[in-house]
Amino acid sequence: MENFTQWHITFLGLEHFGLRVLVLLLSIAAFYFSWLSIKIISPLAKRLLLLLLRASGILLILFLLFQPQVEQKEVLKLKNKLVFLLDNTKSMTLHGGDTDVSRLQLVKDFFKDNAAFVTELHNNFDIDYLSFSDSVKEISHHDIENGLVCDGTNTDVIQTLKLLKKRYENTPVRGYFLFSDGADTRELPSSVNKLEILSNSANDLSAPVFTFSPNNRFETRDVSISHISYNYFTFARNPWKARATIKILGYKNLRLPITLKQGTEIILTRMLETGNEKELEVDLSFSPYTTGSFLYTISLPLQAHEAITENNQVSFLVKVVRDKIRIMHVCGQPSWDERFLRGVLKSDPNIDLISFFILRTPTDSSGARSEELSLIPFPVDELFTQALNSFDLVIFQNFDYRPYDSSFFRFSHYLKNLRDFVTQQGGGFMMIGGDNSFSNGGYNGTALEEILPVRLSPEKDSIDNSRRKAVITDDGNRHPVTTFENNPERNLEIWKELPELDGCNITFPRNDDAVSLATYPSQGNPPLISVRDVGEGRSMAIATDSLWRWNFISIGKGGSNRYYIRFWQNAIKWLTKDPVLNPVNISVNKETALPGEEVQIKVDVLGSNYQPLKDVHVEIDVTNEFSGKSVFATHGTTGNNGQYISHLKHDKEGYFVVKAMAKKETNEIGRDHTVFRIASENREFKDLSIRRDLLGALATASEGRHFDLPTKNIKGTLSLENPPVVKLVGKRQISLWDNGYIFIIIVFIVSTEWWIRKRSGLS
Amino acid sequence: MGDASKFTFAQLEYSDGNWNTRPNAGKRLMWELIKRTSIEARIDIITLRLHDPELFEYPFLYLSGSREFSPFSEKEIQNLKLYLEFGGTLFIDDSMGKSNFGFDKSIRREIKRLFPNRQLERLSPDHSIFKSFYLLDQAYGRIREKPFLEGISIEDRTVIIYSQNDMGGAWAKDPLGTWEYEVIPGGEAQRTMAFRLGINIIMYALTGNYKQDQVHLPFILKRQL
Repeated sequence: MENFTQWHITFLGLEHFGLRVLVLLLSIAAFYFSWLSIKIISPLAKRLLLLLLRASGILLILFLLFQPQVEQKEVLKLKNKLVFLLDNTKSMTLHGGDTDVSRLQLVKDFFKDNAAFVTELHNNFDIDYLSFSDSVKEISHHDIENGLVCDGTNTDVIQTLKLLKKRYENTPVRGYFLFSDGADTRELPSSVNKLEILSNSANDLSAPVFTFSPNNRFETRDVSISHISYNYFTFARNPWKARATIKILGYKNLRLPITLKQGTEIILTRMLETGNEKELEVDLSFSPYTTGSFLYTISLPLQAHEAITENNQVSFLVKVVRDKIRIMHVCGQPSWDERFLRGVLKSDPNIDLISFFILRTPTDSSGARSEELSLIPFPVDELFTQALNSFDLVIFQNFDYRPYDSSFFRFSHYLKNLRDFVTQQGGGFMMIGGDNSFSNGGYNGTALEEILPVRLSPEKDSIDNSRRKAVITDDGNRHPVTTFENNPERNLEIWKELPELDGCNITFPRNDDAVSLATYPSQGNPPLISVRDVGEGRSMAIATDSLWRWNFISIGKGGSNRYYIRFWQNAIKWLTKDPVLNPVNISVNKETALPGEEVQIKVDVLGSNYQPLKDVHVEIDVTNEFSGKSVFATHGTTGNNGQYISHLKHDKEGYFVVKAMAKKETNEIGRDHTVFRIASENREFKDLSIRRDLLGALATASEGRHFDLPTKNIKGTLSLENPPVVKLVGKRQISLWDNGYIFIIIVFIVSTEWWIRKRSGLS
Repeated sequence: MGDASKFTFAQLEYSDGNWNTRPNAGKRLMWELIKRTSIEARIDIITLRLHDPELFEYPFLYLSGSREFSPFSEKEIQNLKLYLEFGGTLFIDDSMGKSNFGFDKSIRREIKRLFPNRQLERLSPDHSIFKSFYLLDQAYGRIREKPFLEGISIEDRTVIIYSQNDMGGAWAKDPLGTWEYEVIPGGEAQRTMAFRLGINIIMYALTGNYKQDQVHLPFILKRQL
């Protein structure tokens, strides 16, 4: 860099060229006529003096008219700039093939192997060193020697080129040296051509880009799950699907078992034959049966010499929610019990009800041809095979299956499906009494009896036709199905006020996990309403077909039907495992948080009456999903709103299970859990391939060149233009005409000329 | 189970007028109901008055007559209104079938007292009543005064069904097994249809709009074509 000064004279007055010529011509004419007027004056010396004065006057007037100005410029001579760009994302730490050489080491080696070339560049150019990922940072040459920290989590070449254009907009850059593996992680819409955008951005730099990337020999060997497409929420009992994209680098003919897990439980495994494929897509599907947020993990086994192991496993959260509650209602005959129950179910907008009523039995004679009847075939096979899983609850109301147990339909087989629907798939089942229910319907000894909360008589039921009031049990007075009011005493009173029922199927209590909620106060106090958690699902038995009386008779007695409606609402919620009935409910305000970000954990505790429960001791424990190690534990007491809120900050990434347990004194009220994730976004290891195509296109578009690393002697193959560059650093303007001296000189010349002329006898 | 859980044909008795024009009609209809459908019903009919405490034991009421009758008491009207609004069904059968005269005049007066803001409307042939068991296209009875039924609906449930074709007259059979009244103008075919409509009305009272469920529509439409 050196400094020097330049001078320029400019004229500000009479900008028009023609005007300037006219003024000059007029001046010459004035001078000529002056000469003519003083020609007679002698001596010659006086004449020449006058002529000189006149000429001086005219020149000074011209000086004023042309307004001359001197410009002084301070100019700096500059060096051209070169920019070295180094990819500092995590993928640069990957080792190539079977070597122990990382991608970054190849970059470091370039500067070592071409030290003379780099020194020469330093002498002739002004050099900037920058690292880039999804942002650009200044570094020094020493950073490369000392070891660049590769902690960038996203490679965004397009964004980098845009930032360079802005940064060097008025700088004479003669070239960019870009060192990268080209693993650009920026995701663009499928309709956009990334190569085209990259090329355009490179072209906009107006300087060649020389790109450097590891050669074929350093291609990474890796098996990865590069992408998962899935619905982050799904409906219980509906198929959930995920599509995993598997990338295979450096391997052939692998047999890869791919596994899907929910938490630590394996849900399904599929075997993949990779052949020569570099990319495979795998569809995985299963039906969740319980609602909530769950952590799912898709994983592949590790292969020999894999560059990284982290991308063999992908975890993600899926929220399983309930759609409308789908109920299949099969009724053996139209009755008032069916009529009022259907009224409740149909009036609930959250229930999707499919009813099948047996309006005519084989022994009935309708007296009409079948086309004159509105009866439809009972789609037994369809309902109890493939369609069964789409329901949340199946109700058999006074229904005898045996007329459908023909050699064609074999309804008894469907009873096994129904048992499995409850025990394995978490469905709900309810049997309502009547002349065709329980063992009168032939269910004793069948698969269905296994799931009922009552034991059946090996023979036909005896039916107690006496009219009596149901009696709630101690368990029933606390159970969500039979709790109508908060206060237990009041609840007992309500049950006493309910109208009498009109008979009961005599069944027997089970001694295992079934709970009797109400009994019929006839001989032996047979169970009237019983419930049971059975396998994954729940079942309920109502041993009467006269519950409708709690509705209509209550109205007739001046009461209301609200307890009848509440009973059915409670029953359906309980049978379908509505989370509302869970006494302890835990939730987090963020499903995915950044490291160090605050996560709110809220625990709601309800009493058996569904009301918020205050002064309850709550314990919270947060553990790492995979290691099981506790990372946070706290405890507290619920307030008046039945809530306890805590906050957690954690720096480590991972999936975390939050468990809460609530207890009052020594009695445990309940437990709940949820899952959340702490993660910073890192897409670097989704695709480990070296994108020479992308870097090559970038170089071509900018009229640069692509080089494979290692490159030991670049000096012989690369020459750079280095034209001179100057820069104006200062400027000063000096006006020559607008000052008092010019005016005084003009006055002096004109006065002198006038005095001489007077003395010579001229006017 | 208990008799009270079975379908019971409950007939409404009122103070004057002629409330029991067809004493054998209900029983005959119950015979046919049991014979033709899976519904469990009691053969014997019972009679009730609107102020009876037993009224709400029977969610289906039959009201017939041929002459004008005195207005129900205010308490009876309130009781009947409660009965209808919370699940009961009232089937009214005009044995005379003469519009704006006699029984019809009294019935329309009482319905106006029951539901001042509603009025009897003609039930469309698409109404569930005409396809709850048999597929029918119009109303039938002993006479053919009106080939349609009228009714009052609350939300999606028709709580009052009114026929002016003397359906009881078509159903009635004496203890010796002889039809009590000639059916005109359609003869025995019309009687058959009157029974079918009677069964449909009971089936509707028990199942509501069940036949409007999506699963039934394709079958029913196919048969109606």
